[in-house]
Amino acid sequence: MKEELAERLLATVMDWSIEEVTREQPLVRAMASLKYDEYEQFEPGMRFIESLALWLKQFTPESERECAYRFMKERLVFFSEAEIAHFVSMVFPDFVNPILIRIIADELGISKWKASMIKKTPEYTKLLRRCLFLGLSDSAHIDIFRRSNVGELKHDQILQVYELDSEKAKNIKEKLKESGLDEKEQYFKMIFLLDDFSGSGYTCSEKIKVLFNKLKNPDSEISTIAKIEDVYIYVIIYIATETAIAHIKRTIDDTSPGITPLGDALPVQLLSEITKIQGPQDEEFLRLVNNDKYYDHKVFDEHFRSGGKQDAKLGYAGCSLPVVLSHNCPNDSVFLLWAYRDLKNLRIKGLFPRVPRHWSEESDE
Amino acid sequence: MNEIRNPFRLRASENIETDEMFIRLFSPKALDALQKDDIWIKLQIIRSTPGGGKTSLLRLFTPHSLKTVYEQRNQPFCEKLFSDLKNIGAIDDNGPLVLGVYLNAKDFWMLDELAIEDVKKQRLLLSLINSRFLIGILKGIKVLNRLQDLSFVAVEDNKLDLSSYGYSLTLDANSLLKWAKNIEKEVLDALDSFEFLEKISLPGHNSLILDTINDNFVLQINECSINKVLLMLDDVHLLTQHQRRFLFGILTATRDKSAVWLAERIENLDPNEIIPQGSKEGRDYILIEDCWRASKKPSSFKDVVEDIANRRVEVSRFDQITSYSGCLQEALDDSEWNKVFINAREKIKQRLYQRITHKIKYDEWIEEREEKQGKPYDLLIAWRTLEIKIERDLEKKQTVLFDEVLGIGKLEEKEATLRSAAEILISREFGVPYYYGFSRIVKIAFDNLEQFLWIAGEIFQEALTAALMKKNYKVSPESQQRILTQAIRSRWDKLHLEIRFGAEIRRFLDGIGRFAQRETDRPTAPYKPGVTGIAISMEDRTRLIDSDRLNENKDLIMLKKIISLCISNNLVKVIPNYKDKAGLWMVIYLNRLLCVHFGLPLQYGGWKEKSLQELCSWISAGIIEQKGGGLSHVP
Repeated sequence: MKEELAERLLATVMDWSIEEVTREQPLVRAMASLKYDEYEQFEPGMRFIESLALWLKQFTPESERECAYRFMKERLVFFSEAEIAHFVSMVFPDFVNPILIRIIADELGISKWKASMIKKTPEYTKLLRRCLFLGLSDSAHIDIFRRSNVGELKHDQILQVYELDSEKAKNIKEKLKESGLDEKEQYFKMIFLLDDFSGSGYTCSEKIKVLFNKLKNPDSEISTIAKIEDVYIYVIIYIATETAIAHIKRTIDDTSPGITPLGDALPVQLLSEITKIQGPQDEEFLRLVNNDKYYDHKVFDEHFRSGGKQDAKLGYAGCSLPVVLSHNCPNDSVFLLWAYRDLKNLRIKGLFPRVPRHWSEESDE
Repeated sequence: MNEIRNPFRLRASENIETDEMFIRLFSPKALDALQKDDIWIKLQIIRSTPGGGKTSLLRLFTPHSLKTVYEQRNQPFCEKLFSDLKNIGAIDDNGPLVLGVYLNAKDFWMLDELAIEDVKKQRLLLSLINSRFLIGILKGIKVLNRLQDLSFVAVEDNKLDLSSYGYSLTLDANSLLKWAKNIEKEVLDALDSFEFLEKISLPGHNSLILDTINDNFVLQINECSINKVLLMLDDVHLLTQHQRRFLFGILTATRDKSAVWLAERIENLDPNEIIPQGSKEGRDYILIEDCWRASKKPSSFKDVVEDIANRRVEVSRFDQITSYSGCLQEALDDSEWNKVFINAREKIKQRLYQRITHKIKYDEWIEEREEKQGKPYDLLIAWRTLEIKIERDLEKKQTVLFDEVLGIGKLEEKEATLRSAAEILISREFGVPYYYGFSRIVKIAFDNLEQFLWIAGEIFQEALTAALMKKNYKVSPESQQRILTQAIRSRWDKLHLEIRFGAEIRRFLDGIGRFAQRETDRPTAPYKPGVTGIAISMEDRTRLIDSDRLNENKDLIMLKKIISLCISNNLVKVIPNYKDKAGLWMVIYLNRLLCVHFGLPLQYGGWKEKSLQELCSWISAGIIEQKGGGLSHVP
């Protein structure tokens, strides 16, 4: 839809006076051009302002539209492609490298602040070579991670998936042998699991459990390149809630009792509890979210059931987030934000319609 | 290029991305300030408040801009500009005639911070200017000749002698460029160095290279039509005082050789303090100060901004809006306001009758007004001016025992001059819009281009919205006033956060504004149409400027600082040496934006003298309302 037509539609839906349009239109346009137009899951030809107008149109009476509009203006948290890429580029220098330096500093008895000196030691070089980076999902932006660390990390140290086939494991093992490491060092000592977003920590935790189980199994592919009793496992999530990080840390602790060394879960951008839609300041919008008029239970599938809630109004596992990522809106956010675009006969439109990652046959009905 | 919805938001010249857009938006009327006989041979000092258009003027004479004007000379938006530039000798039918080099002085002050002797600092300053000037010339030659590099450019050996600047390489353009870049690098390395500079060999020139790089040099090394070079140095106010004095001294000494333009902001109470003694304006330099100041050319600022506004309207997306004044409703809608005017008139009448009960001397005046016919607004004005006249008469001492009836002649005497006072008083009392219409918007702009673009842009935004909504895009007077007062209030509310000593500045301006309100609201309207400023004696001004005479008086030091900041931030306009019966004064007028904020008229002329002590008290404690509505200050 032409931009002007979309703006006119928005003004009509909101029943704004000229004065109100003059005040609001530049803000909406600025938000659209700065970030929201880059959302990748709009329908072809649609951009943010049209989506906003159609989304707001669903709400009656007018006061609900005002509330929804205010929510969009004041509470929405949108991570653009550039911001996520920036988080990815921060992972190695700001999170991984300090860990490696600390480990070597402890090993050699040097102060960890002498970073340049430590980086020149053969111990550091070896430890760096023994790092493995695995993507936990296809939106872990492994391509950006790889490009950001050219010269620091080898190609075979970075994998897009965390589940290896035997061919891949064999190739990696060969590379480790060729790298000049002693035979007993030809295993990865540090495994870093990377993912873009975690709202509840549940999905990520399941994957960690799978990985740990494989590590414990001497016949698995990964145990040919890493030993459970001699590996640190770090989970680095580019954007994660406090709840998710806590859950993942518990999973790491629970899954590997008595095995040292362990690891940790680290967020690049932490979403604190106040980010969630809750409390008195969100009371009015929560009434809309929880209103059956603006919910369609068709979306509640097996995956949502695993979150332990009775409906998906507040998102997966009741995370109640106002978060949108430029490539897809996470289902940890409230339903009103992400209601599926491609689900037949879904009565509610999402502001940033989501393409489901977890699709069941029930969803098609 | 990003889409421009509201072209008035493109303000600073530096932010206009393409040369073509810059040319489209540039008004040729801005060239009126340049006197064609002097601009290429005499030092030009272009001075204004921030947002006055200095950088835009300089940008026009850069190679890219002149080349664009030449290429677009047949386009409707460029024809006049091409013709005006031709008139002043900047361009002709073969191409640009001047090669302008634009330099910004914003970083030069750092040279004064180096721990070396003053004479070395001066030599470094000249080296930096010379190197950048030469780089600018050579780059400009590339642009104007559409060259990829300077390989095909040569210099005739016997015409150019740079040995006094330490140049010993062959005279070809590439070597010159390399040499100039090396000098620049050495100076910048000196700034970055932690070593003792006294022990290092630093570059140092004793004079400006532009005396040597004269017209002949340029003619020899390019095949285009250039016949003069121009050095443009912007933001000269950012140099240290020593640097400015030194530079001005050199430039005023080398007269009638090369074109040099200096652009600076008006920063303080005595902007001419750095002009060397013995230098004479007109002979040694030309001062272009706020080229369209109302007192010199009453209509020129209006012409310039009207042209600028129309150019901006032209590049907006809505073709149905063809001119800026076409977006403005210039008169109040009678159908909406007549009732208000009638009620207001009745109220004034009743007030007047109560005031002059049993006084027969005004009977003829009253009768004239009762019988007067006309539009409701004109009748309202008539009654309000009558009220002012009666108040003035009542204030006079009684000189006869019995009142005589005052004739119509007395009523009509100077009545027309009270109209503007009546208008503002009616506006304040009855909420009738006053700040609307193109002429008043121009006045509110306070002779400042950026200020005009801001307020015009705010109003234009509403016109754009109406056009978008397919409604009548003429903005009503009520809306114009609403938009202006809201925008200005928003700036006022943030003022104390945006400028150093912001709280003190606000108290100072608030003092002037509220004092002016009080004087304007007086029933006799003695300073028609009202007061919009204050004044200090020139003796007091001298006391403020002279650091010795301040005697470490903290209050006066602060007052001087506040007034200087108000000047440099375009919050006030200062007119020194204003003469009246009582003596010589420096008048301090509020920015007209603040007049809107305080509900004051927009005309100049009304001011009242104040003592330094009173102004100091406003700054420290603010102006205080007395009980009974009077104003006083903390003694």
